[in-house]
Amino acid sequence: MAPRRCNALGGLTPRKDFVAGLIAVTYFLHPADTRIVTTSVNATHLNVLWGEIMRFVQTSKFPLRVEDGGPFYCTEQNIRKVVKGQMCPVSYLIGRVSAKSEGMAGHHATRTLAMIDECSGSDDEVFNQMETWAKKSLYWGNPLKNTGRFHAEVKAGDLLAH
Amino acid sequence: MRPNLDGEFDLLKLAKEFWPTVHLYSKQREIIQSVMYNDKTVVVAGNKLG
Repeated sequence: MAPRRCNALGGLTPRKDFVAGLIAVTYFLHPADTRIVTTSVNATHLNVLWGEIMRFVQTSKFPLRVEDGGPFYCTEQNIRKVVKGQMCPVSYLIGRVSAKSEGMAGHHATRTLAMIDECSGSDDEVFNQMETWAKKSLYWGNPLKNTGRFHAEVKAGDLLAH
Repeated sequence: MRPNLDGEFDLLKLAKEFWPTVHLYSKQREIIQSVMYNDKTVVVAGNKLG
């Protein structure tokens, strides 16, 4: 049985948005229906993550943009997948900013990934809504508060060891 | 021993293939591996470290 949760590291600054951007793009490369929703406390912070995402799209050894012959149709904080010349009606990699979890529910698909940046500032309801559909979740941020969902997740530590 | 990826891509291998000049250090690889093998990954930075 796979471990349910891993508290990846503490006390370090591993260029989190850089790694998160790489994870978003590589996870989205899978041919199966995939939905990835990224969110942060505000649009400015989300721009940092999306800067990393688009950097990986642009610097890939193999073309990723549709214009270059790749599978990704990119618009503002929204990437759709083109499969066999047709836009996949299901898959997307999107950015959403929400104060109270509006638009965070209902992103069901075969493969789903919820990504929350600057978690200390995110409302607990954002976590709750995203966990209704996300099969995988990546939460990251600085420990700025000693209350709330992110604090509880960090304190919980690894639930199961590898 | 790592659990089976069950049809999922190895994101680290994919990263190496698509961005061969990008070097990931151990903690960065750990985050990616955690996303591959776990349902939930929580990454906390040191306070005020960015």
